[in-house]
Amino acid sequence: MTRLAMASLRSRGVSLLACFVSIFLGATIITGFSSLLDTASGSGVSDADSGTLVTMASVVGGWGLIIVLFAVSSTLGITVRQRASELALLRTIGATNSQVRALVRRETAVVAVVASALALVPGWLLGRWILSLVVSADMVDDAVEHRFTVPTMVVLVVAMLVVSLVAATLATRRATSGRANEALGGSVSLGNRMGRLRVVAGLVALLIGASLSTLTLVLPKTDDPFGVMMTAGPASIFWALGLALWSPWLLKGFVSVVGRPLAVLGVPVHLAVANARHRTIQLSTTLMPIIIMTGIGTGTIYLVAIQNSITTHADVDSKSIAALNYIVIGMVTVFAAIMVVNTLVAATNDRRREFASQRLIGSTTGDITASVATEGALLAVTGIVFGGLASLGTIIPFALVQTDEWLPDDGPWIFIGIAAVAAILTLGTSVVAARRAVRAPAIETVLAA
Amino acid sequence: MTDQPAVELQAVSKTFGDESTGVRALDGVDLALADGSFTAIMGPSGSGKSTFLNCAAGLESITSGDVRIAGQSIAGWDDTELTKFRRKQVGFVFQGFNLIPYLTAEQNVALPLKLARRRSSPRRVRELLESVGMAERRGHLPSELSGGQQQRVALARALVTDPAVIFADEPTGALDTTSARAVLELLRTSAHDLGQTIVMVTHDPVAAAVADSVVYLVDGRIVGTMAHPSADAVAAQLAHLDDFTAVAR
Repeated sequence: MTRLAMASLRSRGVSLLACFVSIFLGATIITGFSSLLDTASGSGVSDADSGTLVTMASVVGGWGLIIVLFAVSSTLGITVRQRASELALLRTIGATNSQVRALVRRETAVVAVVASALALVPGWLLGRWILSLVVSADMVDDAVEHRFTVPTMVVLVVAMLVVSLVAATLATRRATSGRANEALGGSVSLGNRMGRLRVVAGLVALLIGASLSTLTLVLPKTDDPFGVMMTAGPASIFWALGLALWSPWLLKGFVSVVGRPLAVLGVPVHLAVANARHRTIQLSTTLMPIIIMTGIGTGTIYLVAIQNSITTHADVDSKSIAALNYIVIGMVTVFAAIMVVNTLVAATNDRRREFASQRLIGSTTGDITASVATEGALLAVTGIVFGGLASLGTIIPFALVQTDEWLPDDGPWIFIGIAAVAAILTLGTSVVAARRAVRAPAIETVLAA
Repeated sequence: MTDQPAVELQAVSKTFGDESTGVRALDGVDLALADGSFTAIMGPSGSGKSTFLNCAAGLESITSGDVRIAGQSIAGWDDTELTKFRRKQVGFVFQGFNLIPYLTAEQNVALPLKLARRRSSPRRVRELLESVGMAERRGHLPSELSGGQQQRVALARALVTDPAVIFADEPTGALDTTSARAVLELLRTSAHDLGQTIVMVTHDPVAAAVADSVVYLVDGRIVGTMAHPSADAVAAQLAHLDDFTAVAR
């Protein structure tokens, strides 16, 4: 029992850590760009400089905010779901729904305040660094001084607190619906049906992506080399978003194509294919960040590479544009990595009981690890293929307009590198999580439920 | 059927923790269960019922003594050896059903054969599902089945490898009376018609009465047995287990 309690604490620690890291990194990025807003309102900053800084802070900071909202609500959702039976137990002994929600909100509030307060210093440093990039690109005057004021800090911490509390409220709503004794059973959720909202949102994102790709091709070419980037750059972001939202369908389609031929490879593969087919909604929580990371990463890096190839002498201007692009990619990649690891660890922990049942009917721990690794491979391949397709929404139109060729000269190596990162992350996490999940004796796990 | 017992425990002891200060969950248990027999293990909470089952099934190592299944001693085997042995010789039915949630009833029953790399004959799987009355629902997932139906699929899964013994741990604990009766009836027919050896741990006298004999366990020791039990007799005996303990001491 002690071992079980320790295991529960450890997994709780991991998921709270994921939540903490999401808020901390998100707050760092938002702090960095918010300090540019402070800087813009400093005395002696010209209207033009102020405009440049505000635009940049709003665009990049805005994307950061969306990613943070997504990541925090996802990680919190997992934390709450892992505690579903504990929360149900509280309800059976007399806690009301609002008391349960208040408990989770309070825990989240503590994590949010600590994480965003700790993020102020790295955020301040990030802001200084971004300003130095912008200054060296001659986008603003050398005399502009970096500023970061106390009121902004307070607003930031409060804002992160509010965002986290909204995420916590959304996350607990499902845990407190339905009857407590049903939730206590903690049955494993299966699901293939996508909500209507999700289908529509995916369609809208894909349509925006398609129109941005088309606009890149048909808009008249201007003297401003960065004008084309304004439509080509976001195209792959929307393509990736749309495909990510539709990822349960993509996974189901992919598995039904490769499933039958693969299943002859043995029982672990047979089980992995069956699981992927029946749990597409749950597995898509891992698939989404893989598609987004691969799509946005590949699209943006090739965009910068194409731009650099046509600028004969790499001027400072394009260097700092490149730097800003890399900041966005880095941000997306780190958050995607956190979400991949977090969702995989949570999904694997949820299956401890099922793994134990498998072992009692004759699966070795090696069989189970192989099965989970196969699922990881299915997810990685699906995510890389569709992420790669999404990136073409940026690459093809931009290459056609700028170089009259379909694809850039740089070859496939950038894409292969990003795909390798995604694959190693997914497979590595799957194997480590599966090993941890089968460490306890099977019989204890089955009887403890 | 052979004369060799399907399951045999010889002077089995199991101590949790330190040899001298730890808890003795099993204390010199001797028991031989004939091939095709249906035995219920009863006793109060903490009597060592679960430990008995875990040790007899090779899920937990024993401190001393010997456990033989189908004539083969399994004491001292490592986890992988035991897993491979279980594939062929041991079936399980638990209170919580423990079906794989994303496999259909039919796929769940076929899984132990696949794991043992044996040819899974669709006909055998279907016959077994038929014999537990689940042929019509073979394409359903566990979440689409009632508790009683899931337990019947679990029983078919335990039978599919034709194991030396099936261990059932409170198989009716989570079922309503009607479903429980159906599952118990299936256990009895498996033993009597198919010659399947079954060991069932339970604290329900009605369930125990379905077995051929009842073994009473108190403080890790066998304190009595009852052949051809009836629910009333089992319950009466349970109420007087203190007498047994007094004798044993």
